[in-house]
Amino acid sequence: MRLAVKASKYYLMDSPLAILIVLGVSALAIGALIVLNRLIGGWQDICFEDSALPSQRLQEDVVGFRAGEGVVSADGLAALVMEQGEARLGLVLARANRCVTRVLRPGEIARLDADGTRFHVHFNDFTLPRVTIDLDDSAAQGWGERMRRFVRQPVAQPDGEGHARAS
Amino acid sequence: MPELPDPILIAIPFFIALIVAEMIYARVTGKAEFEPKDTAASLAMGLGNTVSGVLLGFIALTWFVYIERFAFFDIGWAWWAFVICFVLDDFLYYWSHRFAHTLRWWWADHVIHHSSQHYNLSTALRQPWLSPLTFKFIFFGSWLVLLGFPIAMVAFVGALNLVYQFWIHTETVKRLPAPIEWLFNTPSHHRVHHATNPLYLDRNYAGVFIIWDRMFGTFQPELDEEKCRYGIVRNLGTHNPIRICLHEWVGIVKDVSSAKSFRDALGYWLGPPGWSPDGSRESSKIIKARWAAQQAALRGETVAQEGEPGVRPVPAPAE
Repeated sequence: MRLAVKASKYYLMDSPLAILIVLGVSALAIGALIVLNRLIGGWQDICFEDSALPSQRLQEDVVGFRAGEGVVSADGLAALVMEQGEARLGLVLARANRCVTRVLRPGEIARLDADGTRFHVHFNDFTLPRVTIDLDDSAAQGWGERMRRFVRQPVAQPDGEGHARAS
Repeated sequence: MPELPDPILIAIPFFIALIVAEMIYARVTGKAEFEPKDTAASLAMGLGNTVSGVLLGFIALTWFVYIERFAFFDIGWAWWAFVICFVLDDFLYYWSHRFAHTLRWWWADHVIHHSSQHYNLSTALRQPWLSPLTFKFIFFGSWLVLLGFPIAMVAFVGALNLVYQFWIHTETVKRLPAPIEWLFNTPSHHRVHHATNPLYLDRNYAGVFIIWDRMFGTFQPELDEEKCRYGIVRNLGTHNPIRICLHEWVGIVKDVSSAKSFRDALGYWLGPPGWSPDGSRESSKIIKARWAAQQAALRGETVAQEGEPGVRPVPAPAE
């Protein structure tokens, strides 16, 4: 207890009111900065027209990935790119002015639900648990089959979150 | 004990003013980019870091007050003590930061700072919420107190170090004069640190003085022909601050709970980020080795491969 009391004298801001004021003002400043950011703009949302950009992003993000055939979702916000040799499936999502990429090995899709040409892809991924991809009629069947090859089989061993990646 | 101000509290209004200035400058010149969801996530993480400092800061503080009685010397408050303390603190920061990239337990905390794909002043404020619970301060924070520097002095120079690091999170400053680039951590050096290009992975850990990286072999200059791509190797699919804060912890818990042996569990917890028992995941070491092999192959057949997007040779890494 005496240790805690001694430690508390080092707290530079020991008044609860001062703490609340600093936090309140900070929250207001954050809100104002976000509004300002939105008002002045300056970023360009990505929308895929074809699989060229998704392929490039995959090759940049994943050393050794050699992009093959690709397809873009109807809204232009998602793309699937098969690796040459079809060992891995690349997924690229447009998120505002950046892309999020995933390279999937067999078993890495936790569940795949098809609703006509719309696919709900579920992952064992805390920051990307589910993705919805709308494909054109002509592409839906073939790419649906390809995605199914990467769905986890019921007997597969748990492979963990898979988030550990150095940066 | 002299009354020391809190440099971070004093700096907050300047942080805000500089972010506004960079936002406007970015819009006018196109030399940087802000995107509202990313900015909101970064600033929310910064606010949460402040709250957690108030709520959890006592853990580290109590430890330092406890070990103060075992100090070898009583160094006191002379001006030169501040200078030495600042330099030694920066040296310890280098190692603390390097270990934060090489031990998954500590990476789980530090990854938050790297999780934005943008690189602007708001990224500087994208900070973790649970740092005191990693107990890293015991391993890297104790030395200066045990040497005999007053706790308040150690806290003061540590805060100055963090304030310095704010301004280097920008793309608007290209290169500074050579002597500054040689001695100090600069926007150019720190861009490399935040980049996921294999050439740049796990380089430039410095806080204030880049000389530590030069001394310990982790320095990599920014190359004009290798534009930085920011973020982490497996970028996050969310801007939700809670998920940003917890994602790697969740990964550790899942991996450890599914480990087949005690050794595997230990590897998932305390091994390098990306470690797996069979090597099937990608640690930065594996990525760099694979990339180096690819580069070597490309140099032998550049004419055939050079035009291919995302695959082009870059100069060999600087030693």
